[in-house]
Amino acid sequence: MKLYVIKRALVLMTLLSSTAFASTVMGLSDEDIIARAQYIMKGTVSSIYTTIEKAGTPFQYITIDIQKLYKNDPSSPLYELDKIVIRQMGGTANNVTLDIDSLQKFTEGSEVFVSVKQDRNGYYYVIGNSQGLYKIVNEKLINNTQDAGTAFVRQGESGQIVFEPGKIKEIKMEQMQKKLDAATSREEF
Amino acid sequence: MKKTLILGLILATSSSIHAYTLNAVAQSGARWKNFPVSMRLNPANSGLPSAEVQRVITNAMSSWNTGVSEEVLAISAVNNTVTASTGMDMDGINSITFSSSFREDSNGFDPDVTVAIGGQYGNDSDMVDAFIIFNSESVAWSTDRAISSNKSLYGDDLETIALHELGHVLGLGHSQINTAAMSAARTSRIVRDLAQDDIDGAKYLINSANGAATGSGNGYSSDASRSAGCGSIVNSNTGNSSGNTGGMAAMMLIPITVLVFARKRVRELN
Repeated sequence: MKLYVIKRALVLMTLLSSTAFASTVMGLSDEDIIARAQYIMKGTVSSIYTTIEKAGTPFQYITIDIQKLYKNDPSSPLYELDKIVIRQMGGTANNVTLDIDSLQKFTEGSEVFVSVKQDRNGYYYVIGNSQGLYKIVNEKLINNTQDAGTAFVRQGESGQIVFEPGKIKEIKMEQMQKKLDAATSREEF
Repeated sequence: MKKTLILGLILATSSSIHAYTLNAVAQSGARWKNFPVSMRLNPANSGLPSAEVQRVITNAMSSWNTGVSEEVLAISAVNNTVTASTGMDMDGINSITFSSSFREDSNGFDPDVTVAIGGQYGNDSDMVDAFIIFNSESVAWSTDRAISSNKSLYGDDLETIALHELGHVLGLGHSQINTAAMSAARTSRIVRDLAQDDIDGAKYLINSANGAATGSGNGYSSDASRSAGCGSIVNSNTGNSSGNTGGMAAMMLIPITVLVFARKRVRELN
């Protein structure tokens, strides 16, 4: 029986495909992300559905149940208790695994603080790729671009170009609220 | 004098250590088995003359080919049979394309900040499909060094980004060495030449494709020569990005070990 299980696992491992993508991304500050976002919200990842599309490529459909909106688009408003769906490449379906370095990783059931924009197909994408997603843990917002494998490029204070690898960034909710308030006072909302 | 010699020994040992990493596919054991990896190029939508795009992509490929003393990358055709919208498809066609509608083709990437995407598909032994998509909707590409130097954003220099993305196509992740083309933390806007670490990484991938060292996902080797094999691997990385941490840890570990030995030796000599 054990041998059968091992054999099946080996066959499955042989069938599994993997992919890797890497990208060069412009680095954004929280203020940049706030300014660029169409919607900023706190919500729960209620489901992640992966399916194969476009000649064998796995795509994820991530549903977020909105708990609170911090930035809204008056021309196309969202409301608390609405759901949005983020569509992105990645995940595992039909024994094909797609691991994308620079895209954000969602976990079902997790609470997130996320800045998004709607695309032309009605789905949403995260601002700045992995930069626009914070996981909420014990009232702290945690953004992890260290595991994203992305090369970030920023313009330094004296105009020079600076390259940075990803990092783990922590910020308290009240600090983020201050940044949101500052953006409101600058009438960015 | 003795301390100077010991310090020299430490530096010499440190400088021989490499910091390249492998991307997720290469870590799973997949390798290109047939070289050159031939890619179709569609220069349309780049905003540049086709011949100029071809010249620059050829230059970037030549840098890798010259670096490893083997033709590992080549352009198989320059035409419009590949497009950005089909570039990511797992269809066995390696492609280099430009997307002027990156918002539609981005597939979850933020089109305003993503400069280019490069990668490949593979199984546990073979790499089967590779692609590079340049974002020409948000990025103004240039092939002129002077113009590129004056642009406000790094992503404008096509050859620099092509060199980096082609490294991903071969199977490399990001390097811990800032001067490397595969670094995620470079300090120069234009990097059109490979560092030794890039070359070592590519050689490692080619060697392991020939059966010298496969499958374990190691992206960290102290010797990238053809005969290196498994014996040269001194640390294993865990991923393209998380693997960077592993590579750095290994880079630090060896000098620290040497330092401890050196201090002990100094005490003995004193």
